[in-house]
Amino acid sequence: MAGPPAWPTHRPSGVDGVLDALRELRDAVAGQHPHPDATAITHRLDDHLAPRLAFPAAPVLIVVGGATGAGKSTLVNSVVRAPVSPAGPLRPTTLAPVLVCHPTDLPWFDAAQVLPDLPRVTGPAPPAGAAGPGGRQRTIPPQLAGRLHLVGAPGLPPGLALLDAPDLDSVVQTNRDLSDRLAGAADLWLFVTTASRYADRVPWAALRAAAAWGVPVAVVLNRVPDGAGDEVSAHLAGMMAEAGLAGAPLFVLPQTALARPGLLPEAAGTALRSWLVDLAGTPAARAALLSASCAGGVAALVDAARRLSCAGGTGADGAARGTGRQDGWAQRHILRAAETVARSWAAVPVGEIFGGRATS
Amino acid sequence: MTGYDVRDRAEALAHAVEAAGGTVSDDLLAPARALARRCADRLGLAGDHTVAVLAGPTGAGKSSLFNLLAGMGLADVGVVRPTTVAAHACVWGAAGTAADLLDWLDVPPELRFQRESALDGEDQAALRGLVLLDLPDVDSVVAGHRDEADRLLGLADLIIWVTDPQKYADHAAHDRYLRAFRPYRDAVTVVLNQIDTLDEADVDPCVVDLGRLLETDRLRGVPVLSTSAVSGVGLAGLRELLEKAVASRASALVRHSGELDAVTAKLAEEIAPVPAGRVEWVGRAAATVLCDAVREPGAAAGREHGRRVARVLGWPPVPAPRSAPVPAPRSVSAATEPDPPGSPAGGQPDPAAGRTGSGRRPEAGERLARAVRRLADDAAGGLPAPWRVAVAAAAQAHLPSLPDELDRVVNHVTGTIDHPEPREGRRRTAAPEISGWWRAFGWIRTLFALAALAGAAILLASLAAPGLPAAAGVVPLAGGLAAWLLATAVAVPLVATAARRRGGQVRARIDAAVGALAEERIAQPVRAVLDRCSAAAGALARAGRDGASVPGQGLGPGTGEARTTPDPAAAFPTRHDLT
Repeated sequence: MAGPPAWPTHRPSGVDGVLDALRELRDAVAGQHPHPDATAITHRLDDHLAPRLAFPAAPVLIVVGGATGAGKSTLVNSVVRAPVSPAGPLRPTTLAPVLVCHPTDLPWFDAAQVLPDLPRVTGPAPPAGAAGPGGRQRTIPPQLAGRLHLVGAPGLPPGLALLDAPDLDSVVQTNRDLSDRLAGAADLWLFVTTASRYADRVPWAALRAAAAWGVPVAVVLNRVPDGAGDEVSAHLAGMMAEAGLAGAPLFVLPQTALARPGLLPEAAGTALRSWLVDLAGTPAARAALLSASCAGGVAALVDAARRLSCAGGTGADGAARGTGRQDGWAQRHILRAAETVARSWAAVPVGEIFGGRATS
Repeated sequence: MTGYDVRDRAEALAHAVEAAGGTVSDDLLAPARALARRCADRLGLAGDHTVAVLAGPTGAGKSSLFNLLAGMGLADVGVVRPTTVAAHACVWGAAGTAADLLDWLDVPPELRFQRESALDGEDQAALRGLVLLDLPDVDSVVAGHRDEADRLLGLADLIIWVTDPQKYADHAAHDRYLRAFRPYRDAVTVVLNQIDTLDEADVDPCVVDLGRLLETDRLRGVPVLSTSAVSGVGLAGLRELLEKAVASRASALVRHSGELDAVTAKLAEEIAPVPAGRVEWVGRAAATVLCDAVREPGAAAGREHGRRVARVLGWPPVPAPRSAPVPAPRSVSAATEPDPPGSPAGGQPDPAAGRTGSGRRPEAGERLARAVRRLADDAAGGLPAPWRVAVAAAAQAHLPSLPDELDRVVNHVTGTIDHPEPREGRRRTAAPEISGWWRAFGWIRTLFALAALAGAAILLASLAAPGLPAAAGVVPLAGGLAAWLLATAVAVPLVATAARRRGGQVRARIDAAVGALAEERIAQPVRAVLDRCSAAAGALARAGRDGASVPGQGLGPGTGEARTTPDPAAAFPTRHDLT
């Protein structure tokens, strides 16, 4: 396999219609005044929905997100079974997002279908997070700023990619922004938290936002002290149910000493790893996940576009309030495009889109 | 630094806030007012106690440290987050000693614990006087916890910020809390707890990294301790720190003094001392402005009066060149006659007047308004914006009615000179008062003239009746005429001088009356604002760190401008120089 053209591009009838409608919506929104919702819609479209629907057979992208110090990088390394993303005690550790996939999937991600405007860097992992004596400069090196680092790892099966995102609550502003955006590119957002963090406000806000954008979520409760697992996970499950995430899978990992720097012991992450591998490798599970993420994504997108068209029209938002007829026209254009997306999506046999991929 | 110093400073701050109220934005004054009240409250209460709080994110181990320091399992420690719901207090000392302090902190009695009992002996003596509070978290989904923690963080003397290796770089904590601690950073200690979860080799880099983050929060110099509530490492250091704070009994002063510094520095951007001499200058400048406005009508009134004086003194007429009819004095509001009774009072420009040719009315009013605005600008020159606004408002408060008032003053002065009785809608030109000397001089001149006339009559009679000697008529005629001419020649310059002098007196009286009006209508309101500004600045200076420093010093470049300029000329704008 070499390059995106090698990926089967067969799509059930109707998907092309959806893609056209999405493109139309994107154009309509792009003409809008700068508005946070407009940016979010554009990103959600470019980063996830468009490439996912255009290339249904592309690898499943799992974005690992969470607050600083939750152990995201360690978790990624443990699932991949190689120290691909630097882990360490100094925060924020992950200065640039690291995407790990099987080497055969690298061309797909290198082709910039997903997250098209992030420049790619391939090669060895970015600077290690392990601290040198005396501390190091904790600024993002210019060659990494705003870039997506691609790492091939034979430890992962083909068709599954993990993206280690920067912190949600980083002291570095660009990390925070990028982290929010990366969650929207995910087929599944793997939210990592810890026993001491799981009731923090900032990550929960992000979790709710992801749910609102229709991103499927799984939660990893990391670093649980001995004997506290049941109590804490029961409390967390209650909080998740309250936030409308009752159906999201929850994994509990105990607090353990690291086997090697940046890696959990083999046993600790096994359940999570096998679940992820199954998710990407079993056609039925894969189709269910991708259908859910696309259906949720389209629904959230249509909602957001409707909101945006109202916000501009009624002047509820000062920034979006435009002048005169031209804006009214733009609002109607967005609304029309959103309705077209909703209609064409309703006509697509969702289950068939992702059902066609054979195990590879 | 003593308690009285800090309390005096707080009191001075309250005065400054009071003086600046209504002028400086309340967004700025409200925190200062609250701080002044809090300082007074806190320092008035149990000055021997030190209120230390354990604050920080959920799960960092605040309650564990609290229990370890108290030596008892007072606070619930758990794995379910957030654990601590309400603040607990532990008091070291005899029972009931800090009751009013705890009341003020609003810690319910069931959450207060007393540390020292007969059993402990003296091993807790070093902490006697400590009130240790275990706060709820600041970052959990439960918003009420944050509010309670914020409230108590505002009242604490000593803040012990507890964090852990997972959370030490959380943006929320640094942005919302640590950065805000800067004004009282001398009362802050940061504790990195749970170092048992780190590899031993990672502890130091982690502490260094935390120190680096604190430096970016502008908290350089804040002590960073590393502890483990599990292994007990570092607890001795924390205890020692608390013991030192208790022994010094200065934590409350340090914290509040730091906050006073910050608040006064912030207020100093909006409150600055009034340059010396400015207050006196305002009175003169206001008088100048209004006198300028009545210069023309005043001069005309003076001239007219002078002419009338000349007419009276010059009787019998001196051959003064009679000019054309006296032009009507051009009044400030350009109304040649005072408003007839019943006409709309006040200075609202009458649009009809504008149309019927009194086109000077808006122009003169406009000129006056410009001059008053300029005066306000100069009076507030170098002061912060709110005071400039207030001065401008005060100076212009009476501006709409000023032109009419000026007219009334001018008319009143000219009217009372001629006529003590009130006028009835018409300018009276009664005879001015003249002195006996002038009257005698007039009579003498009249006598000369009569003598000449008599001489002429005798001469005529002698022509008709040749019996009379012609010389009997010629002598009085020639003598009387010559004397009359001589007297008149003397009178001409004397009359002119007297007329000028009397005209000048009228102008001077007009100026005096207008000056009084300027004082009342412009200078006093402006001076009231300047006095408040001075009072606020003086109080603020006393609220500053060394009490004598001039607020405004130590500000960034560009904010000082004229107010710290030593040049005395800055106090006196030259535009309205009275020379």
